[in-house]
Amino acid sequence: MISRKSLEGTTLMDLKNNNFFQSGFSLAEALMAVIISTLVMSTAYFIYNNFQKTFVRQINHNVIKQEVRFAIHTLQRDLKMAGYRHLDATNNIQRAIYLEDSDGNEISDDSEADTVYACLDTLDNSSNIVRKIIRYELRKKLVTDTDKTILMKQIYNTNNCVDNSDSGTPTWLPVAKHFKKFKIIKHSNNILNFEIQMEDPAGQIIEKYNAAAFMRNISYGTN
Amino acid sequence: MKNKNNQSGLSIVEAITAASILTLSIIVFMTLQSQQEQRFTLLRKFDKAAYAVDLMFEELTAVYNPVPIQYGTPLVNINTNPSNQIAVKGLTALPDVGDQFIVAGVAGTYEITSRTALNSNVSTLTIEREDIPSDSINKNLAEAATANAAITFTMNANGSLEKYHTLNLLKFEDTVYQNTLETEVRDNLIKWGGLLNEHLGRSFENDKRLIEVSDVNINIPIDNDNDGITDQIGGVDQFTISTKTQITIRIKQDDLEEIFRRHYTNGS
Repeated sequence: MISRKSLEGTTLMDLKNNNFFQSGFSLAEALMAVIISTLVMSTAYFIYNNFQKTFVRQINHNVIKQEVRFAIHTLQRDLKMAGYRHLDATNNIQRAIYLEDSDGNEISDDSEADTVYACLDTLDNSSNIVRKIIRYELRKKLVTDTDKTILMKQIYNTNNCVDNSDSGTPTWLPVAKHFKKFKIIKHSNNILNFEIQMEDPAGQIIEKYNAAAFMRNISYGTN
Repeated sequence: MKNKNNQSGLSIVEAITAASILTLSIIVFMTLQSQQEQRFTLLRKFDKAAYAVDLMFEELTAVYNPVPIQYGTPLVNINTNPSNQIAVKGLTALPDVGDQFIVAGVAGTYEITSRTALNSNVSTLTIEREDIPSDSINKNLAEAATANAAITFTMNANGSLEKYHTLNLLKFEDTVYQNTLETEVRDNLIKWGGLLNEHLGRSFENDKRLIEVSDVNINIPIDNDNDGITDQIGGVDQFTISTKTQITIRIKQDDLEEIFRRHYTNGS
């Protein structure tokens, strides 16, 4: 409580300087300010969040692009060589290409397969001709996983393009990850078609890719 | 004393101006964001379309290098000493000049340079060994071929890509257009057109998905001594001209146009 006595000799200017009349915002003003601030902040956050999501999506998309590029490059490089017989090899390539489903049944032309085996001659470090099988299929990352998401390959020596002539089980080598689907279709003109679906790490983007490999050696009859 | 009547705050004009600027900024941001999103989506489409184009190039390679026609069951007619001629029996049709074959038990691949007409399924082929340097003196059969040795054609001289010239992949569902094409071309039109449609989405006016075929001459540097440096005569780099079949695939979607090219060596 301010007493009349205490205000004696005090000018209006003194009161003003001491913020005696400061009233602050009214409730309406404060509410308006809060509403406008909320609106501005929400909009700013919305825009920022959108940019951020786009940025993350682009990064994830680049990840699957990189994986699929490498996968297709590797598949084409190996499978185009199916049926290659070295000029000095004694035997013809017994079975240049072989496709099977996930149950191990042979798949005929123009049907979808899960696994592909290509047989071809290579040279070892001592320039000896070595006949090899290269096998590709989708496999699980962990035994406990439910989905097969890793494209893997096996390479092993063979005498007849069917059996493994190495001792022990060949190692599975990871080629690329983030796969959702991988199917191989062989056509009678010695074209292999690959149908690939990739899923980004966040599980938000699913992209479909198609590629092909022409098996020249089989077509040329040099196997 | 100052009272509430002196408090000015924002006038209605000021408030409206501020709100307009704020709204405008939001619209600009949203438009930019939307455009970026559209651009990103289009680039994603083109990225996948590029793989589809690569698939088309690869399948055209199969057209260009078809599974060789064997012209029946060709066998060596009689024991033949190394020369530039070989009589072949078991032919149901006459092989073409430029076709290549191998003979069981004989090293090398041979190309037909001329042939006699079929007489009781037999033709005498004049040949040149193909898998040795072209300036080799002896291009005859590398060794004697025995009668009844199997002959396998590894490559036919046909396989022209000309039939794919001006193939409009936008018309993959147009049955009238399809019926103007050979079966093989039509099948590929439906397959490739459908694939591009799947990856790029439906087309709009002025969009383009077109295959063009042409012959181009390519200058290939000569390096006979294999030293990695182009050979020179009188200080001038030497080149040999090689004619190649060039396939161009043009894809135009919205305002973005991409041109993909691949060369195919003639006769291979």
